[in-house]
Amino acid sequence: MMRILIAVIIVIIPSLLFAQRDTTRYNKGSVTGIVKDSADDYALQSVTITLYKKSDSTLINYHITGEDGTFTFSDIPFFTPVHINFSFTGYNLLSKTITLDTLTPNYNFKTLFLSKAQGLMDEVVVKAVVPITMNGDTLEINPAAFKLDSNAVVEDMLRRVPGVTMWGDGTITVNGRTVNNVYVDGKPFFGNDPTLATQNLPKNAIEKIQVYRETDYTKDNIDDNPADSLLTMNIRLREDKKFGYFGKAGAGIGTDKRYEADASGLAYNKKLRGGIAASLNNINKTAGLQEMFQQGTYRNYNPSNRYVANFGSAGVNKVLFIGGNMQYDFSENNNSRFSNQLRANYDFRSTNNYVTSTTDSRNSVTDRVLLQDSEQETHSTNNNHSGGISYNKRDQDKDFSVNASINSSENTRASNNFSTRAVEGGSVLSENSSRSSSQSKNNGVNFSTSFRNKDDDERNLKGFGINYNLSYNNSESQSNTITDFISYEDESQNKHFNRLNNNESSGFSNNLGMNYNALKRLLFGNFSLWNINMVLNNNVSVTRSDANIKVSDYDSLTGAYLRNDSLTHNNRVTRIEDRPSLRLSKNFSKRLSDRFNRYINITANMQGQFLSEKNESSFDYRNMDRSFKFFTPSASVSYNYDRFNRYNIEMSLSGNKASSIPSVDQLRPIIDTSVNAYNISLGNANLQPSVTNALNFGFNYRRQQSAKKTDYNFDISASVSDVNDAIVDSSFYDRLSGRRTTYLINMDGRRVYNAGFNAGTSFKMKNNKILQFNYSVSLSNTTSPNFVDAIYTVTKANNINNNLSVFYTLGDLGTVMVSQGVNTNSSTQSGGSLKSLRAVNYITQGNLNINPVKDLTISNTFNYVTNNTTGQSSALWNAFATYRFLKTKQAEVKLSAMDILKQNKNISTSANINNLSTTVSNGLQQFFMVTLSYYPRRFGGGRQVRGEGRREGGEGRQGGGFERRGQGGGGNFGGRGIRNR
Amino acid sequence: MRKWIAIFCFIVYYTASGQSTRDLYFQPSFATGAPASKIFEEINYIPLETTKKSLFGRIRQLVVSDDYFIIWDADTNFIYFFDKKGKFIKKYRPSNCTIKTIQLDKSRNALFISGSNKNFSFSPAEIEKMMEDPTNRSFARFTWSAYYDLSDIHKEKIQRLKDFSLALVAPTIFNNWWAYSYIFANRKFADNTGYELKVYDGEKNIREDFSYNKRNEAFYYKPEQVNFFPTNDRERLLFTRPYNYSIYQLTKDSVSLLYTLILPLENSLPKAFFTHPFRSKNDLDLYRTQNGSLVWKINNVYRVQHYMFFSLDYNKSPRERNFMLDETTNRFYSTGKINTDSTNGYLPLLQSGIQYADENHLYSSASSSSMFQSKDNNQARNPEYKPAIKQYFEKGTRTDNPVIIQLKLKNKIG
Repeated sequence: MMRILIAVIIVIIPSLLFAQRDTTRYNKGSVTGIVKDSADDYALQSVTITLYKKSDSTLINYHITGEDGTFTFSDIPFFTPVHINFSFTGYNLLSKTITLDTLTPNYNFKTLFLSKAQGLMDEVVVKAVVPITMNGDTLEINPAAFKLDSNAVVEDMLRRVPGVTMWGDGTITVNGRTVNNVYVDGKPFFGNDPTLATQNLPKNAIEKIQVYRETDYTKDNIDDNPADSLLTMNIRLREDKKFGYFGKAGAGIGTDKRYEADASGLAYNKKLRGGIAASLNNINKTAGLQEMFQQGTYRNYNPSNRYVANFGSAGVNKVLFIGGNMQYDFSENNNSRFSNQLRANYDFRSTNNYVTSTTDSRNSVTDRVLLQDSEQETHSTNNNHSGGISYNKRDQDKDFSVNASINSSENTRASNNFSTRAVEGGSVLSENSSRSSSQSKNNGVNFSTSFRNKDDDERNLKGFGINYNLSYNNSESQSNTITDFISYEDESQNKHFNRLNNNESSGFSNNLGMNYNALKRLLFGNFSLWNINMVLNNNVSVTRSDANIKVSDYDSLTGAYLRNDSLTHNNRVTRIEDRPSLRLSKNFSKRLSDRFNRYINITANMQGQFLSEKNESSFDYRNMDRSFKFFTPSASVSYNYDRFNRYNIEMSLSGNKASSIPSVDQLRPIIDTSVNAYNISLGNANLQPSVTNALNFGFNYRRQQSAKKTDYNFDISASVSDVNDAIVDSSFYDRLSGRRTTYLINMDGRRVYNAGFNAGTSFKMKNNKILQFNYSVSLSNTTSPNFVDAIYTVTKANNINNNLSVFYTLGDLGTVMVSQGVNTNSSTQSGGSLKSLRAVNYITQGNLNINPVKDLTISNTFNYVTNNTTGQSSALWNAFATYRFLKTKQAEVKLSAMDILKQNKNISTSANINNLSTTVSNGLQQFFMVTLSYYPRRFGGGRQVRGEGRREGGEGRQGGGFERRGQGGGGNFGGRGIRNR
Repeated sequence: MRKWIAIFCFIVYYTASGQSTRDLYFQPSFATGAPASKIFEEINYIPLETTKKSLFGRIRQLVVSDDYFIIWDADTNFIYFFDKKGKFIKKYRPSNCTIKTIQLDKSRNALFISGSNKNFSFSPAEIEKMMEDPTNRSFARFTWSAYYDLSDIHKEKIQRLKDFSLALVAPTIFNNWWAYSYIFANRKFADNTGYELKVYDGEKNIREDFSYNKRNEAFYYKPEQVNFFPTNDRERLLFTRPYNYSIYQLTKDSVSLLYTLILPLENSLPKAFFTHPFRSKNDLDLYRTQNGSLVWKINNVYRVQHYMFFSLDYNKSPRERNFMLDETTNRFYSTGKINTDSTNGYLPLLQSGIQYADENHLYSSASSSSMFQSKDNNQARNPEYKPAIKQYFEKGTRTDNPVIIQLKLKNKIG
């Protein structure tokens, strides 16, 4: 009830707030007419018509004439003198002033003649610029045509461009097609996230935005699949704005000893782009470098409130993060086809984590359900360094890259665990308590390089690719565990351990891959072989991993730790693998211009797998030398249908066969009963490799009618995999202690089904309001045969997740998001009297951002989770008020009220074959915080200091140059049906 | 800027008074427009019948014979015959051939069809290699060429051309000969001279013009061709050359210059282009993508009465690329700025450019999708359609075959 109420309130508030805005509608009139050339009497296309209020020159509306030179404005207020300017490159400016009233609500200019500007062309001031033009195949958006606040960023403008849809999740679509890359001057701008460019770069720094379709040059494009081409949005900076910096620095202090401090700074020039970020807090905010950059954008619209105190994560964490990256381009080339780039990055993260949790789990066994209650307390610290450097050089026909990275980490951990096991409705069977402390160190290095030779013609004999990867890592760990196991029914099973573990391990792997794309050409010359393509592929890898395990137990007699010979050992696994394959593919394409384009690709890949694995151990029973040969073919069909100006369908169906071999720990495990007293795995030396056959299906529909205000798309995916000789459990439960002993066996019949459906629709409404709905459902079903207490049983585990969300933007006034999710986990057992289990979680989320006055944003986020099994529920309501100040809106004060209802709990549920468990852990508690932030930013040279007014003025002049005039003079609005209003 | 205007005025004066120069100063963005009724005496829309058999994509090439509209559609790789009222007669597809060109040979009353053999594919490098010896008969098996007899099209009378290896680069019928061009340079070649334009009588070369250095002229590292434009006189071709703004005429015994366009600096190839040390074809491609406003070539030349139609090959929308020169007044018109009006029911005019011209008419076409779009956009003006088009709008759909547009120019604009 509470959920519904809150959802209703969230939806209603904004509509009440803004309802009164429409009441003036009936006091408005319209103006129409047609613009022609005065000398030759032909209609002028692309004339920019702008309407200003005479009193204060505020822009009311603008319009670009189409092919027929006509224009219509509606919604012009009555009794208000209005200036109408008609401007067109090469023509004299024409101005008219009119006032509409109830007697003449509609005014028709009939034909207006513009005269050619003869002679004095330098002095022609071109005030307006065409907002959208088609330049060849490129759609160009001209920022100067959009009059916005001087602090507006690119995103503020994009939302006003017809045909462009900004989705609630950050996706951008142009005429129904998803934008895959957003570049700045032809290069990625601090990673792949478009918001870094669209929410930081001021509109005024942009010369133009280009949207075009390009081939994905990072692929070989053997089959010329239209789905492989990418829609790219390139933001071109103005020549004087090709360097700049921006970022955010802020610190906050709160009740309950909470604090946060974040800083990020990014800078760019024509060749170098780099950024650094640092963060320190005790409110569970963890973010990587890229996310820090994303969260520090100078946006003033649609705050996601993602990077705030995390009440959902277990425990209380102190986090310190420092990181940075840079990218240097050796050429200034503005073309994504070419790249000559050096990148480097470094991260350091230190976390200090304290978690207490209780877990209730239910295990279904013969006749009854076993309940396990456990309590755990963990304190851990983790310090991690990672860094990398990479270089890539790519041109039209060659692509070379080399990467090197290192990482190093140190962890300590101390935990206490106490658990009891009981029969449901019966007595307690046993209890187990353990204390452990551990330290570990990990170091790794990785090196990889690749080279591709494409040549300009893929039919050339030299089309090949080669890649190599080398990695090494080693780790050392020490731990001490003290375990007490007490059985209430059989004292002989009681156990006590005090154990030291000293482990050292290292891994080394080498991988070499090669592909040759011109096999057909080599074998058949110019013969087209019915257009079947052939690619030869081979992958060789050699890996070796070593482990040195030392275990010693405390001996109370001698008071010393004595070596445990049954567990102390060395192990080395050496694995050599080769995977040759031959890939055959053929395209069937049919096209009827202006009607449809259909493309079908059929691919078959014949792959062999040769594998040999040698295990050397200090325990004789673990010495093994095995080799295998598998045939692992795969095939796929993909289908793409593009109905001109209507819709696009993509479909794919693929199948493959894969084999996996049992590991030495599954065949001949070292059995240790001390660490987990409730679960003991005995393995099976006779296990055979398992073979998986999988089938995948995908379907995607997108509407592509740019003239319509509605955008929608949906996709369906499904997969099924069937495992022969699957390695499954046969487990026995000790009736006295509740302990589970597992043997592994091969069995047919393990099957996994997955299906998903996703649909989204977006309505563009008047005054820049957007309403979006998203619905997704995913289903998964795992059928697994196994034995429990020697009873054959088929376990079916089902997961169904439903989520419906509504996103509504009120122009610049705010956003509302409401979502409802229902997640169901269940498992059923076919065998005898085994019990079935079921858990349902309801998740309601709401998010409301409004700007009641300029520069003030009030945000609310609401989360409500209920769980039917435990009867537990959790509500989390956070509220934020953010105020931007200073003339440039670079300073911000933010008040946060977290967990206002004081009802937050961390609940997580997990289900597997015959076990269902619910964990409740500690987390943050209610606190209030005040945060001050500053957004340092500067784009371009010293002129900035003289104020925004000048920059705004500069826009008008932009259209005046000679070159620009040529472009402005010929907008093509017919091309793709993009028309403004 | 003012200097340019002064020059422009001077030239207009000069050309108007004397006609003694063939140089014309031409600023594309300043070309004027006009309502359709001032330019055309007559505009006819001829919908092409849509049946299951006759459905095709787009008119890739149009030939208008005495009795038929002959259409090559690259989507389906078929040649379609429609009568002059748009009724579908028949279609033809040469087996194993991907069509590259169709031409009308009036003296034979036949349609020349030429293309490549489907079973083979070549890299540009291999074609370059073959073009060093274009009459080598062994290459003929990679091509397919034939005359299709038009006296009775139902008979499908095909006369194959044997050993016609020139078909590799689609030559143009010129008198009883072939005019052809394939221009390329390579730093590995011997330092010798090649010719941009060649005329062959069978396998015999009878004329060569416009020499270039086959090793050093780096802007020809990417192969280029002279473009030929047939006229109504089979002994006369118009042609244009790559990286050149002149329109030439080729007759039986001479090459003459008709016009040279002088373009604004921003559109003109700089002198440096011709000496730029391009290293490869890719290098040249890069230069071209980076210099989008430059004009690379003049294309689509048609001369009807005293009007010369042409388009500029540069990075502008099709609407801004096509022009018309009125030779009596030396005025330039942008065909994209010729407005539809009530005389043609506000229907599309020259969106697809000119696709064929004969003594009396220009021909263009419009897709049904754009025809219906125009109809929808102009409902408010209550346009009056001729009966054929009225019926087309009533019975047809947006996915029907394209509509042929037949235009008759006025003798005098205005």
